[in-house]
Amino acid sequence: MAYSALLRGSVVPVVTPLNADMTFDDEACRRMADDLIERGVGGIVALGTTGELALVPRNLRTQMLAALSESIAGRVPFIVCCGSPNLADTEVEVREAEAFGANFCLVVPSFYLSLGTDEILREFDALRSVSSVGLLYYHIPLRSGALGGSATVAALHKNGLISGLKDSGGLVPDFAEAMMEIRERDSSFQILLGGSSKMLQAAALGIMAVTSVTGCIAPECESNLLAHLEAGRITDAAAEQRKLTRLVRLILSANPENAAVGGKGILSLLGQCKRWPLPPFAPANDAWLESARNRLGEFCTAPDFPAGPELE
Amino acid sequence: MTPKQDPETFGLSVALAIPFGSDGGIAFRRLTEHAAWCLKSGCRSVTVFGTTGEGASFDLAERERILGALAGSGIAPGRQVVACVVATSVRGAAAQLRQIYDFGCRTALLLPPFYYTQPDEEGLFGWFADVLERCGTKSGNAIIYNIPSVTNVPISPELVARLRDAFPGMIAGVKDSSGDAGCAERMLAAHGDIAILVGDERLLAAAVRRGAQGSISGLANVCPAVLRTLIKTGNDHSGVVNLVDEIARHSVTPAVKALIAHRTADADWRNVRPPLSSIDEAGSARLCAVYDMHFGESAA
Repeated sequence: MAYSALLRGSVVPVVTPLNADMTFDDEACRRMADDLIERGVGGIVALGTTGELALVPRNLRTQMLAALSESIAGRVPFIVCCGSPNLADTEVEVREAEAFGANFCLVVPSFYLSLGTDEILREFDALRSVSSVGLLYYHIPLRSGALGGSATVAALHKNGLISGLKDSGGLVPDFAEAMMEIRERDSSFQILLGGSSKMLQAAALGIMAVTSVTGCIAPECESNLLAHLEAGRITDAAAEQRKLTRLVRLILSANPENAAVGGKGILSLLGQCKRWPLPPFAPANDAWLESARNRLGEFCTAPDFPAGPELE
Repeated sequence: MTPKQDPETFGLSVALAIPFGSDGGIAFRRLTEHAAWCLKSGCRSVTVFGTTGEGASFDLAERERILGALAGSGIAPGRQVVACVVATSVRGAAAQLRQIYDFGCRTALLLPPFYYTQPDEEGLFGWFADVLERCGTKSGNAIIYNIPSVTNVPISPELVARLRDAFPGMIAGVKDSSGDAGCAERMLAAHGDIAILVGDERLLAAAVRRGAQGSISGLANVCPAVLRTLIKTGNDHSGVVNLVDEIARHSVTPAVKALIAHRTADADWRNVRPPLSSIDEAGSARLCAVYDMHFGESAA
């Protein structure tokens, strides 16, 4: 489904909620989506890195998209992350996302082999041929191993293969500058910042949309930061940035390799979903949850989170 | 120094390149002819769906057709075919593994989950255990595939030990493609009683002298006889080192396919599937010149 406005604000990568037996928790998924939309998020991303993209089996993926598609119902932009080691599987994922009404597919280049620019162009060209949904290039070299940098993105854009990108490469200045140059030439070029640790810097460059695990827990911090910045309240914006940075650190302290572990741990304390990540990752342990519980008030002011045991 | 143990226990398996037509479809006749040539020329088995074999580019249906074509050409799945599992979700990996065993292959090459880097050892053990248990522990053997340059998930000797304890007799070996001689040595020290296989042919002779049982080798697509001799004798071969050095200047699969195209005089062998691209003419010419200089007619 075409979407022409610029994405903006907290574009939340929802976790993939699971029961202890690794089945899909449909109720939690719908509850989280409704809650986030009520809290004013700028979009929802399904099955991204925080959504355990690579670990989610096919049937669970379909269940997640069905639940989110119905819950979102066009209220906010719906973005579906696609990517696998196998281009044919990614093609299937893109077609499925389009069928579920996705506004964009956020595509990780095939992540078994480290691809260069030519290979990435071929891949996106193949995806473009199977679907008309807008494609966003997911720049996440640490995970995908893709070698493409700003030249790759420029080539993808020049060839009409992408509508924008998500930068999870650490907001490297030269890369960010190159992206903004594309935006200057093409005002519809979408730029999402991956992770909220550098949100203030990104916003100063004009990147006004963020996709971070912190949005699952405290999307208000992200939207407040942007509102403060736009109103010229730099000190207040910086305070929100510090809060987000602390929240990122807290989440990653559960498992630095997979934000879903800490993210789901905190969401279980908030009564939103259970804490189970997919293998090979273990759930946040009890000691970590207790420590996190003591710090939640710092980040979550809107909902009344339960004081009792976390959702099991 | 001669090899410490019988190198023929596993020997040489070719990491079989898969030929495609210009439309990207699998060229089955060329596939079976090439597999037969590799077996005739010194390989004890063919390994399909590995890194050189573009394993990540096949879905389950194509994997089945490839296994079927090999079996249909008279290659015995149980003795002569090893197949690699390339998947990140437990369920996806288990489906591939079950297919491999159901097809009668005795040995599977099992990658760890990738994308998320360096999960802790407990989690990795749980992932492998879950995949193996879903397929039934009497179904076949597994060789654990250590290729951290691709997966970012190194396999430790301790993890292999835990898997061997949990699945007695099922872990048949480790393919070490770390490119680190020290890693192979550590595996040999801890697990010298199973097949430690070295992926980087430049390290193969030295590893064989220390007890490695052979290799699953991309280079065996073009010079299996030389590699077979290397494994039998443990003698270094400068041509192997030089050719791998030259291959390493390119993306490995397109480079190996360029060499097969050169050896067979069949340009279609250069076809790779998206997102890979064939190497350019100049690179191919240089590569083939190195091959001709060292191997020429002696390749097979």
